[in-house]
Amino acid sequence: MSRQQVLIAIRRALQGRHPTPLPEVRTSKGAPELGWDEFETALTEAQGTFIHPIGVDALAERIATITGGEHHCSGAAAELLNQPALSLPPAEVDGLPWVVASGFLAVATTGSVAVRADEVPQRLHLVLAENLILLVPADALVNDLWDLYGRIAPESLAGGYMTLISGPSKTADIELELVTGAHGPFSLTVIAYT
Amino acid sequence: MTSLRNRLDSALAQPSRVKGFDSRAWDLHSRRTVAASKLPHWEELRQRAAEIKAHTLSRLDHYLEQFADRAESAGAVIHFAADASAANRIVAELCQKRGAKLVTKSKSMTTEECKLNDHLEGLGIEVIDTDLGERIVQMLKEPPSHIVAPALHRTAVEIGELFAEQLGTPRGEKDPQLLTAAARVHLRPFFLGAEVGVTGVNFAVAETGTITVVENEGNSLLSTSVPELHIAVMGIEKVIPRLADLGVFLNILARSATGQRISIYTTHYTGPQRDNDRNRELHIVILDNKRTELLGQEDHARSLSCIRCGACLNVCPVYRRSLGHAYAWTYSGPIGSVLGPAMAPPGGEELPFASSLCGACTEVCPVKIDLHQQLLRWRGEMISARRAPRPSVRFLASLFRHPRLFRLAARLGTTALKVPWIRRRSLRSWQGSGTAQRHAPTPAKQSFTQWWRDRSRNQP
Repeated sequence: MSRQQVLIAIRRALQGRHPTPLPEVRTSKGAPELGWDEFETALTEAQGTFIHPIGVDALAERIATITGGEHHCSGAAAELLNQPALSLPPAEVDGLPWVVASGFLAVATTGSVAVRADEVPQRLHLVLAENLILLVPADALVNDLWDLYGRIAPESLAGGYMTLISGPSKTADIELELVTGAHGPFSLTVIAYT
Repeated sequence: MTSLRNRLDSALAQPSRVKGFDSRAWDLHSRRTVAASKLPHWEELRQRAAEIKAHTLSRLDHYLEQFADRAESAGAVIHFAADASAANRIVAELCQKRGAKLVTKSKSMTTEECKLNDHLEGLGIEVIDTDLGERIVQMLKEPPSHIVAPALHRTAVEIGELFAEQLGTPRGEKDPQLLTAAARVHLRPFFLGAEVGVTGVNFAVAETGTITVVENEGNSLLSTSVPELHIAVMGIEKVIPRLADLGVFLNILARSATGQRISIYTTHYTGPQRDNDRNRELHIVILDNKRTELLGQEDHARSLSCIRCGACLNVCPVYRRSLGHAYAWTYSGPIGSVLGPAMAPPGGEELPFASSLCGACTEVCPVKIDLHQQLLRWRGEMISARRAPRPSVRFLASLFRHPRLFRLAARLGTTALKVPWIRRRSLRSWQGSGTAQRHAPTPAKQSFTQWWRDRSRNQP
C-alpha cells in the first residue's frame, strides 16, 4: 500500500471532523533553577552514582581511583582526558570493565545525561562495557526535558543519534525484582567537571 | 477458539497462579501511584498529553506526511503497510536482501500484533527476542501476558526451571539476579552476531522525522547498534507533532508503566547514523492494520491515543485475574478490550464484556482515554448489531426495552429468589466465571415500586 493510499484512508476517516487545538509547548520558564543536588537525587533513585563537580585537571586521577586504571575512553572523553580513544571491534569491547564517555547536557529532574554521536560516535561503547562513566560539564545542567529539547536545534539531530542515559541497565522481568546489568552496564557513574 | 468465559474459567482454576499474578500487577499499579503523586503537575501533564494526542489524531494525515518527509530527508527509508501481512513482507524482504539469517528484536507490541517472528522463521530467519521477559516467553513458546512485563505470569521458580533446562543453570536456582546474569551471557552472542535489528517505536516526531525508542535493559540499543540495518515498525498513531512534546510523554510513560521518573535509555534516531566505517540503514515501517477503521469511528478513535504503558491492565480487576492470556490477543486488559472489536481477530467482540465497568482504568490512563465509557459504547453497538456474545445479554436488552415485560420478569424473579436453592445458583448462571462464591441476597418483602405505590395511596 502506498503512502498516498494510507493518507487517503486517514482523510476519509477524518471527513467531517474538525481539528482540535494543539496546546502550547510546556516550558519551565520562570521556574527556579535546579542544581546538581536534584540531579543526584534523581540519578541515585535509579541506582546511579554522581560525583559533584571537580576541576577538569582532577578528572583523570579521580577516574583512575574508581576504575583502578582499568578503563578505556570513548570519543570526546579520550580527547578531554588526553588518553587514546577506544577503537576495538564490538566483540572486544564486550566485557571491558570500564568505559568513559562524555555527555553534552544533563537533566536535573530525571537524572539523565544526554549523549550524542558528536561526543560518542560508537554508541555501542555505552552498552557493551561492564561499567560506564559519563563526564558532563558542570554548566551543562538543565532543569527538565523541555529545557533539554529547547536547547537542541532540530536540524542537528539528523544523521546521528541522541540517547538519554538515566541509570545503569536494569530489568524487573523476573517477579518484578530489580536487577542491574540486564544487558548493559552494571553501574553508571556521572562526573561533572569544571 | 474457546470463549472468553471459558478462558477466564481456566485462569481462575489456577488460584495460586492467579494470586501471584494479581499481586505483581497490583505492585506495578502501586509504583505508578507513588510516582504520579510525586509530580505536582501530574494532572496537568495528563491533560496536555490528551490534548496533544487528540490534536494529532485530528490531523493525522498532515503529521504522518510531515514525519515521513523529514525522516526521508534525514536518510531513513519509509514504508507504508496496509496490514500485518504487508508489514511482515516488507521486513522479510529487507532481511533477505541482506542475506540475513539472524535478527535481534527488542520489545515491540506492533511486531507481536503482526506475528512477525512466525513469518520470518517460516523463511528460515532466526529471530531472537532480546528483552528479558520476551526472551523468557519466547523460550516457553508462549505469548506475552503483559504489555510491559511479558513474563508477569511466571514465577522465579518456573523461570529457574526453564533456564536449567535450556541454559544449563543449576537446578533449583531461582535468584532473579543470577538468572538475569545467565540470560545476559546467553543473549550476548546473538547481539554480536545479528545482521538486522528490529525495534518498535514509542514516539515518532513529525517536526524532525525522529523515532524515539524507550527501554531499561539496553537490548534495544544493542540491537540497533551492532547490525548495520535497523528496521523500526510503528503504528500510524505513534506520531506526535513536536520534539518538545516528548517532554510530556516521556514524563508520563515511565511513571505510568513502572513507577520510574524516566526509562534508563531513551534513544532518538533521526535517519541512519552517519558512520564512515559502516553502511548504516534505517527503515521505518508505518502500519495501518485497521487503525484507520478505528479512526473513522468518532466514538472510538480516542483509543488510538494509547501509549502502551500498561497502567490500565495493572488496575483492572478482571485483567489481574486473567493471567493475561485469557484475552487471546496481543493487547489485553481494558485497552485490549476497546481495540479488540475493531482490530482483533474473530472473538474480539467478546472483549468489551470482560469488565466490571468500575472505571479505574479511566482514572489511571495517562492520556485520559475514557476506557470504561468506550467499553460501554462497544457493548451497546454489539447488542444493536446482534453481536453480543451471550444470549442472556441480548435477552436482558429486550427486557429493558419493554417496561411491562420487565415488571413481570421482576415479579417472577423476586418470587423465585425466595427459594434458597435458586438464590444460591442464580448469580452463577447469569455471570459465570468467578462468582461461585457469591449468593444473591434475600429479596425484600416489597419491591420499591410497590412500596412507593402503597406510600402514595396512604398519603393524604
